[in-house]
Amino acid sequence: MKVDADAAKATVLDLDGKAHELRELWKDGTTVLVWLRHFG
Amino acid sequence: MFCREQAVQLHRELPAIRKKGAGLVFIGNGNANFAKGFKDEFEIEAPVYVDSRRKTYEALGFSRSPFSFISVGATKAAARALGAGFRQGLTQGDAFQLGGVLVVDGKGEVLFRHASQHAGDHPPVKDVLAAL
Repeated sequence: MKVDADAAKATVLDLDGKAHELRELWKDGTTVLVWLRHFG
Repeated sequence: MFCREQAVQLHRELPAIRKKGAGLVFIGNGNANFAKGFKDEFEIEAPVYVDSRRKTYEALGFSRSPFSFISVGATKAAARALGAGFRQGLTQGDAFQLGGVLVVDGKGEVLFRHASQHAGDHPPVKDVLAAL
């Protein structure tokens, strides 16, 4: 099953404020992606 | 506390993850300053991203509930995390948002998915590594 296409295009920001589509995060190969509840 | 526990546990496995040719990234729903503080405090070498509007959480079906930390499971998870020495810091993001873990290959195929059902509901690290 592939990541939902719309989800793959949703954006996150790096710490410099640059936007990245989610799919960019795994473009270099298999990636473990961890969504934290928050940063506390 | 739960976020710290999960981040530290998975980050400890970064060498093993890299040995398998994979990467590790964290995404949180606070702002960039929160993320920078988090990265510095826990010496997180892996990339950290911010989704303040929680759009990716929503798109991937990660739940948000004011009752996420009021459950037997959350209570057990709190005891586990406290027993491991983790303490609750200031909430830096949406306290009601639950997280999750995906392992995705380079073509976008989902190799592993875990959506937290309550606060502290993290997948066993060995299960994440087994998906690589």
